[in-house]
Amino acid sequence: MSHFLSSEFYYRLGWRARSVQPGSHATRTSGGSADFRGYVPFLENPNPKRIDLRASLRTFPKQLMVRAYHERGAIAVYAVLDLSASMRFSSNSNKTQLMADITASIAWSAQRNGDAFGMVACDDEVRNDLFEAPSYRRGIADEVYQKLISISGWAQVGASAFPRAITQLRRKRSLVFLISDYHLDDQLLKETLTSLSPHDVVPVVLWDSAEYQDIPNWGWARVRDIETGRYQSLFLRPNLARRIKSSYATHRSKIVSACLMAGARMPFFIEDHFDVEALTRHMLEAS
Amino acid sequence: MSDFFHHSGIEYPWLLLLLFMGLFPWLVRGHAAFPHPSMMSLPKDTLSVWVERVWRLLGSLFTMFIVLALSGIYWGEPVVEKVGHGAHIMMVLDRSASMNDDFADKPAQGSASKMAAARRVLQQFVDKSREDLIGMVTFSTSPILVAPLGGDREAVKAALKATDAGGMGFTAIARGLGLALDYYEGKPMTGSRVVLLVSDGGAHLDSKTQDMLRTMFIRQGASLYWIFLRSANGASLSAPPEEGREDAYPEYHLHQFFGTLGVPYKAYEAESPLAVEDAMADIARLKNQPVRYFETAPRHNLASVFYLLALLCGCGLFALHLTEVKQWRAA
Repeated sequence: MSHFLSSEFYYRLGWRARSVQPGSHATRTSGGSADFRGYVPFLENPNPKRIDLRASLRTFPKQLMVRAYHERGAIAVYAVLDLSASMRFSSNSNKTQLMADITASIAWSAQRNGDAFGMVACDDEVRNDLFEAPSYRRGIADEVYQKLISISGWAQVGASAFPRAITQLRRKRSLVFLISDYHLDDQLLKETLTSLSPHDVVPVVLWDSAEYQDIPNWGWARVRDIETGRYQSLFLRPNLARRIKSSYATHRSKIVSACLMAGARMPFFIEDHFDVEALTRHMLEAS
Repeated sequence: MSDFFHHSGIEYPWLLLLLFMGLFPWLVRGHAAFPHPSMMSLPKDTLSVWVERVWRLLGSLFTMFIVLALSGIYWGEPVVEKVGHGAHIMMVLDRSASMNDDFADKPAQGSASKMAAARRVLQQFVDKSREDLIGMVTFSTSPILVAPLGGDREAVKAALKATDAGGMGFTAIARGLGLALDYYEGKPMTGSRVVLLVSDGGAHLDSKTQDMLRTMFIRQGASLYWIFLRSANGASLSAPPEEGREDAYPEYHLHQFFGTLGVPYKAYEAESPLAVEDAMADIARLKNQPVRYFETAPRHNLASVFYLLALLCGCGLFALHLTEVKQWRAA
């Protein structure tokens, strides 16, 4: 049985969480001593340790001022997974393996960062067997990895339950990694992103170079859609290869604009292998 | 095209039931295909769609052509019109002893036997006629085939030269004619058929022989030219013999009988070598008329054509197979 490589990435939020659980993120909860919020009259925050003499002298009429702080809190980090048949695609990389790697990495990073990790998986149904309520327990990364790696019996299913994934999430704003290949029709993608808009959504797009880049230049090939089972004949030639690439480029820009329109973060594109440092960079740049 | 369907046919129509196998290439599914996560992101390509269709069509045609070929398709125009030039001439030469005699009109200097005159003229005739097929039968008591019907002039001329040996025996005209007519049997009728009888006398034919000859002439469609070399004191063909002496002139009766054959018949009475030449020139002119006739054509078996078409379809299928991608990798 294989184990996941503990690869940690760092993330930062661009918003203040509402949290009572101590953690590393800025929250709206007052208290603690980390994030300076401002000066308040002593009676509002009667803590003699925080009395600020300079601020008190600046006031008129004179009164005692106290420094107020925001708490640092923990949030829930979710991985929302697409388990449609197309995620079974395996060529230059194994998307299932890639998905398990990324999810475990998220779980590991969240746990290291003191956040709760939860997981929701969807195909045409929301998969209860793969549901993980947010938890802080150690070893969750390994558990999740084993669960995902041992999924068997993929049927020809889509990902139509994606918009219902929101029902499984906490109501408080959370960081949601939406992991899919994004081969969804426009309507479904829009609904999914809209339903998740109360949360901070990081779209993670899994693509394989064999889908559109690493294709033969010449020859006749039949291609089977593993999600719908339909066949298509492709008489490959340089012109068609170019058209496939440009079609994917269009698809890519469509995904980006759909995500930005729905208020999600910039999508993170993964091709063939998962680079954890690139994800860190992406998370820190985009926040 | 409608003409084609009108004249074509199938030898084993029940085999056409197998034509439904031509549908299989359109129904077959599940050939090796490369998996792809989503067809939505692939562009629609018309050429690829047509390559697939042509592939199925070729498979379908391949099957159907083989079925058609197996069922023995043929094409035959029932009757074809043909025009023949040149004649098929069987020369029937009398070699009886009387041919050694002189003509009725003796030439001024020397004497030419009837045989010598006939031989000389016939040789000229053979030299002149380029398009004809010529055969030769001689007869005295019994007929002898000397040259079969064919284009070999030398054989005929050699046969004529061999008649130098001089004649002997009786005049068995009926058997000579019968043998000559036999040589037309089974040959395609590509030119007018002429039996050229060169003889100096007749013979009595009984009614059974007469019937047989009549049947053979009509069946072979041959016309008859008789060059009658009249002996010095022989009777003319045109003058009926006196009452009570009919038996003495078998030539006259033979002439009458030939007239009733129902095929073109012409007799030339030649009293001198010159007259023989005239008669031959006449015949040469007559038989050069083009012959127009209808013939039932044999069927053309089209199986090989359909096998060839199937082979072409197979080649097309194979060519498409060769273009198939074996490995999904950039080159």
